[in-house]
Amino acid sequence: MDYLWMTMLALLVVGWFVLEGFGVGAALVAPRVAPAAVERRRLLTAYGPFLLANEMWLVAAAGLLVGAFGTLEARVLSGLYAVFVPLLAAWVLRDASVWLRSRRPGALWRRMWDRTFVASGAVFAACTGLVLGNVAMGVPGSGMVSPVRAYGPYPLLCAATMAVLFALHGAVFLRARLTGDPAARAASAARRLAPIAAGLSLVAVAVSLYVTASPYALIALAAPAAALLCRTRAAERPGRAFAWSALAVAAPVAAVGAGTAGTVLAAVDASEVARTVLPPALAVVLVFQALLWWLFRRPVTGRAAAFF
Amino acid sequence: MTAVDLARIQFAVTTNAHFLFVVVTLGLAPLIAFMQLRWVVTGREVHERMTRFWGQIYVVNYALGIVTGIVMEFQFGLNWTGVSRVAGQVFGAPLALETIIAFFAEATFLGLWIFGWGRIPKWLHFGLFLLVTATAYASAYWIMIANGFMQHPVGAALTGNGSARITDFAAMAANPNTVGALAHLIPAALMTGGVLVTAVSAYHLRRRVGRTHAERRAERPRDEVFFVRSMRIGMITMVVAALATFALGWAQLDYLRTDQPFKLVALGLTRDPMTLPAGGQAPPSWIATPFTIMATYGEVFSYIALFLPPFLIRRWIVRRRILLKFLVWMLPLPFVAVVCGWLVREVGRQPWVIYGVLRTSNAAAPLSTGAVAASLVVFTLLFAVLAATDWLLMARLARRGPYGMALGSTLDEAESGDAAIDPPAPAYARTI
Repeated sequence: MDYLWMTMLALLVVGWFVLEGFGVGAALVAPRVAPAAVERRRLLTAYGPFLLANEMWLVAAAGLLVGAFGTLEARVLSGLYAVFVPLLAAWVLRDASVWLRSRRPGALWRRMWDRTFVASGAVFAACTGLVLGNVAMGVPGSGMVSPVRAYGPYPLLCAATMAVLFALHGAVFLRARLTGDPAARAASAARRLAPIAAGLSLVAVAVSLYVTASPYALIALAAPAAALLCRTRAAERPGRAFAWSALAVAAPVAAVGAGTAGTVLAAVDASEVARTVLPPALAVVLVFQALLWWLFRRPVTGRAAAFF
Repeated sequence: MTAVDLARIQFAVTTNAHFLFVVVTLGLAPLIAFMQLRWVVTGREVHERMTRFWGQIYVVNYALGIVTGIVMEFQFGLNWTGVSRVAGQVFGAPLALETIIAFFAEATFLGLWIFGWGRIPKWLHFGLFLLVTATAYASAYWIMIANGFMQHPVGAALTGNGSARITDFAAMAANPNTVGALAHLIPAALMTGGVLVTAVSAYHLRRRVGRTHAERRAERPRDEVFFVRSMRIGMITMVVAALATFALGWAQLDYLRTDQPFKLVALGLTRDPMTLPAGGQAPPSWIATPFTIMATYGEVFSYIALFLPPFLIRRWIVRRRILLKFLVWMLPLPFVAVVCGWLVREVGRQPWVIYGVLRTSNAAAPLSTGAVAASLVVFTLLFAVLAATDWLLMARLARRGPYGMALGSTLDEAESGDAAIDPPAPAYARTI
């Protein structure tokens, strides 16, 4: 039964990296892919349907941590206070910039939110990497990890790596969901980002082996491989390329997860209620999420519903 | 100030920022579901426009509800680690159920509703909004189970070392502190939603008073029908819900008398002389002030509301200039009452996080004052700016009326409308 909880948690966390990864990545490459205001509207329409559905994976993961993993959530969140506060602030601003941008005409207003979108996306991506790096060094005990350690060289390397991987994933997503010039620019961004992502993640794996001494870090070797595979397919086979960039984003979190599985498994403490209700409820929500992906699987056209 | 005080202020700021948007979500959702049902059944354009107009106000309001809700959820793990240390899975269970069954599901359905507009069959589209409404209310219920447990811990065996167990979930779910509060909160939210719809409709109708029939016909002839219809829905909801809120608010004294007698002492609602247990602390007596504000508003507004429905007969209301003005200006009051209600309930719980089990001072995470102060400043500034922005945008959408609506338009329409709003908005709508 404990393994079921761990599988659910792994599904939600890895799922969040893969799904929110392309949203955050889309923000990072937005200035290059969609510099003009009209194109920005297209980009937000391409990403819009997924915003709410994707970010909920992390909300659900946090809920699962509270409900089924005892004090683990409290340890991680209050331990990495110095990282989670900017992460949440960036998350809030990223959401606000998507929701509020198109609510008013006016070039200044829209430019302001467009910039907020990119900047908050960058902080969001970097903080995600910082969390990953810190957890890889060991799940915090009780009390706050000092900011000096939380922002140490290794977590910062992880932050840079995750940001580039997200950017690659976002570019590949936009290549698949957009048409015309923006799609071509997204493909070229993906081609340029792929070698950087591969190189950085290779370095990160090497440093991880040294810092954490955990053999599980080798799992993350899938990231550089997938990034390179995605490079060759970005232009003509966007669907395939998306699968590879998803793998590239999932590999580091899978490696960190495998390394901390023991701690996570030991923390399982679920009630009877959670046991009976949560697994089927999650399955039902995933059905509706699948409906959403199926509905918005094709490139955006002029007839798409635009709200953002 | 200590780190605990700062963490408490941060909790109050985040929760109230969240609450102010959530009452509108809960209050508007059933009204919009009703409008969409009529649209689906009759296929008439006025119902479609009503669904879109009130729907976009709902969705823009939702933006702040969701971001404050996210920070809210993470705050338990950031600042209040003692709660999971002591109550473990007991407090965690309803929170987990809330995030997955309600929040996760609700956001997915809402995303499908917004972006599936015109792309999925009408009935399925309506079904999605019903699911949005149902999950929003389910969310409120799960959260109130967690909150009811904090007010009056029943249905669990607490050991204090984190291995607490739920012994009787039915008792947790039927906690009078949960059910009683929810019975007060739901009509309060519906009243707020009703007041919002009534006030915005009154604003538009008042603009038309004093013009000749020909003038009114020339300028947006359909507006009167639109806003009278909207007001009918809003006002009837508001009147019924106001009475229910008032009655069910006082009904809560029954369980407070046995479960939290010192809250009643602080509110000045009991004459029985009571002695605090040794080393005990009573909640601060200043909560009597917000209580008075809320109770007075509830009572006065319920009585006034009784006189309003007759004005709906034969569109009497459309020429009552002063009455319409009153209906516009009453808009902020339910929000004030909602914050007062939160203060009475949650500050009145002090000095406990979990009543009689865990003191607030023992529940805070071992963080430095500087760290908590920094996060307090960050989130307070963020929420103040974003909430003000969001309300201005909602006011702007409300003033513009049912024209050039963003919800339910296609990308082509949005792109052509980016430059010009169709048809030209009247002068008063251009000022904001």
